[in-house]
Amino acid sequence: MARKAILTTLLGIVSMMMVLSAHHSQAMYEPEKLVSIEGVVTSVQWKSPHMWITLDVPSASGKTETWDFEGAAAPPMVASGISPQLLKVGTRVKIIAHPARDSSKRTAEFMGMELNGKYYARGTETNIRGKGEN
Amino acid sequence: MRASRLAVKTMLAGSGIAVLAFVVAIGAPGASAQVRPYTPPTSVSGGGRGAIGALLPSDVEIRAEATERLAKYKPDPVKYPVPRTKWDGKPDFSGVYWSDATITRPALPLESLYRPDVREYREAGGTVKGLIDWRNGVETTGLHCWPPSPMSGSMSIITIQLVSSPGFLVMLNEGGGQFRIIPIVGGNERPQGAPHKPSFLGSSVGHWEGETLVVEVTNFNGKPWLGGGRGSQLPQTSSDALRIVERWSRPDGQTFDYEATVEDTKMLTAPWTGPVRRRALLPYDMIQESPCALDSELYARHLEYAAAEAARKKGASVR
Amino acid sequence: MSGRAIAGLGAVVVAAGLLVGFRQATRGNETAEGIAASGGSSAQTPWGESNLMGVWKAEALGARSGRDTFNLTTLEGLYKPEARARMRKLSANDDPTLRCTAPAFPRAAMSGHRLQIIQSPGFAFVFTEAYPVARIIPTTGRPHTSGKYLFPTYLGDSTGRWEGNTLVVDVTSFNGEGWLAGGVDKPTRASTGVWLTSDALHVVERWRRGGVDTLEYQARVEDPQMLTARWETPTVTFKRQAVDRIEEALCLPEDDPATYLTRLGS
Repeated sequence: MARKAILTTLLGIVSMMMVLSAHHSQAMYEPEKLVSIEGVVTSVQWKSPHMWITLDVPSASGKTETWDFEGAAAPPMVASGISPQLLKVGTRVKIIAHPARDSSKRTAEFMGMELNGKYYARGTETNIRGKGEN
Repeated sequence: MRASRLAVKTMLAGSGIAVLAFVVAIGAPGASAQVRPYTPPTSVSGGGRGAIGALLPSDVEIRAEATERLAKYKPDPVKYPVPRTKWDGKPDFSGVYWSDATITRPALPLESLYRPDVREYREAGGTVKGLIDWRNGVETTGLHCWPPSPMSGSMSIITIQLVSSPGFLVMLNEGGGQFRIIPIVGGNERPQGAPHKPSFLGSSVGHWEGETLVVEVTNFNGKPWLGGGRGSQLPQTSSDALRIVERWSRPDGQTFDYEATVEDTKMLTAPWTGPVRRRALLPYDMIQESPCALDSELYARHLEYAAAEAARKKGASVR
Repeated sequence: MSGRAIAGLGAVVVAAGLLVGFRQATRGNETAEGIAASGGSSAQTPWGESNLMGVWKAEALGARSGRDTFNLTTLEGLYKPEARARMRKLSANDDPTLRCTAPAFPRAAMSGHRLQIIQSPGFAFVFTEAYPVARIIPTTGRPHTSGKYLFPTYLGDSTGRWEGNTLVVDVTSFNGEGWLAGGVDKPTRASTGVWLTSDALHVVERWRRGGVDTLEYQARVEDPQMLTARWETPTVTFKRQAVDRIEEALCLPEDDPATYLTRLGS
């Protein structure tokens, strides 16, 4: 498969997507950077268009910091396998995220997570609800 | 926007500079020891799936892959026959659909048909003037819970559900919880009852032309953007003269196709025929509740960022 | 009237009903439009379920100006002391609908605004015009959404089954943020217009056709965290509207949600 052909197809799709893209603004986050942050879940709000996950994260100084992660809407997150069964208060998780452009802000855009050795992508990126499970 | 970013990353990965592209140093003073730059495992090979995709089990497809696969897919109505309704034997659209691929691209970009005399109106944001400052790169109509663009049938770009019912096609968005109820009539009939109020999603009436459901949508409220309103792309505003003619069909039992012709004599110099877009069925049968609500805290953060950016730019230009 | 006369009259009525039903059933099976939109509709869907489809409207119900039409006096009396303590800290202004959050049923049945029911094999869809939201109800008596994919919601997770011509719907997995009635509903002098729920809320509804042009709704509500006993709503009678669909009446944050219902009119 010629790389060029893929490039053209993807660019076509990309330009369509950009024209038709829905609500989310990424200006606040840095899309070319990824960070991982490990901590304990203190709250999860299953909301749309964006759900929130809050972690208690230990800092170098020993104090605990509060970090907020903005996810996709609840249904796509769940369809990607990120459910209330998994993401409970008290769960230790490593979140992979785009950091805020303002590095003083302890908030980031949820892109995926590692939990119990398994990886999960941001809700809009995958759909693992297979086999007609309802 | 998610898939477009991933698509970009996929392309970079394909050219072999993926790993380098993703390695970033935080460097900010006072950062928590637990906040680390993230790199995908070095086992990621060229032609990769992007940082997140690389970590997923190989049988889990990311959206960009699903879209690419769908774009190349050849519908097979013998292997996957189109289901038909019990009541009229027409194609049954019922199902939950996900990935969304462009099968036929438009001959012209929509932007090329915009009338020059509406440029000023568009620059101000159209009817969102005063509500959304689209130029700050933060605010969007979606953040304000407006439905998706009527150009895409007001369908959420992620997951939707279609329902065929006697006399109706119904479209439900998992994205923001909007729905469109499309009465289907025979021949020259028009649905009964009082005319409807102008709306974001318009008033739809469908009729069959063979195996294709042709839906005429009119009576829009003049507010929705067809697209744009981001970066250097002006909002593609619409007016109450907006009229859309849609064609819904099923090439096989795994897919459905959607195409729309858009006319708006107050905004466009000519009607525009949009892309043919194809969606693929998911294996489960109902979407979940996802009504849009303005998240005040999120919104405040985004606005705070926008204000800080504006101040920073102003300060920079003064220097 | 003599017994014979009654029997005779009864026979005529039954015959007339059968004739009407037959005509409508025939018309309904001939064209899809026969079931949709205005006027009478066949008793059954083409796949043999009771036909609840149509646009329906009931009168507004609640407890205002000393008149309680939704059994709210009883509900108020069922709140536990700890629930009342929480509720005293809130006011009518905390009503979540004031933020454009759609009320769940049974509260949504009180609104006096229209709803539309669409059916397809295996599902019933309830669309409310006020605070528009689509409720998807499987009608095959299957289990609730799997725990792997279930998250708490405003409308809860519904699953329905047919008991004869009555659709019995079991609703669980609410997020505990909705109210059972509105800030304007104050059945007693002591009422504050606050009607909290918890995520233990469990609702069992009964939907059925009352006649050709009426739909009946009734619900049983349990909330072991908030209420000392179960609460029953009265039967709400909806009348068929001669229109093909409900209006789009989005509650947008920018349009002052507090006046949304006023702008929606009747």
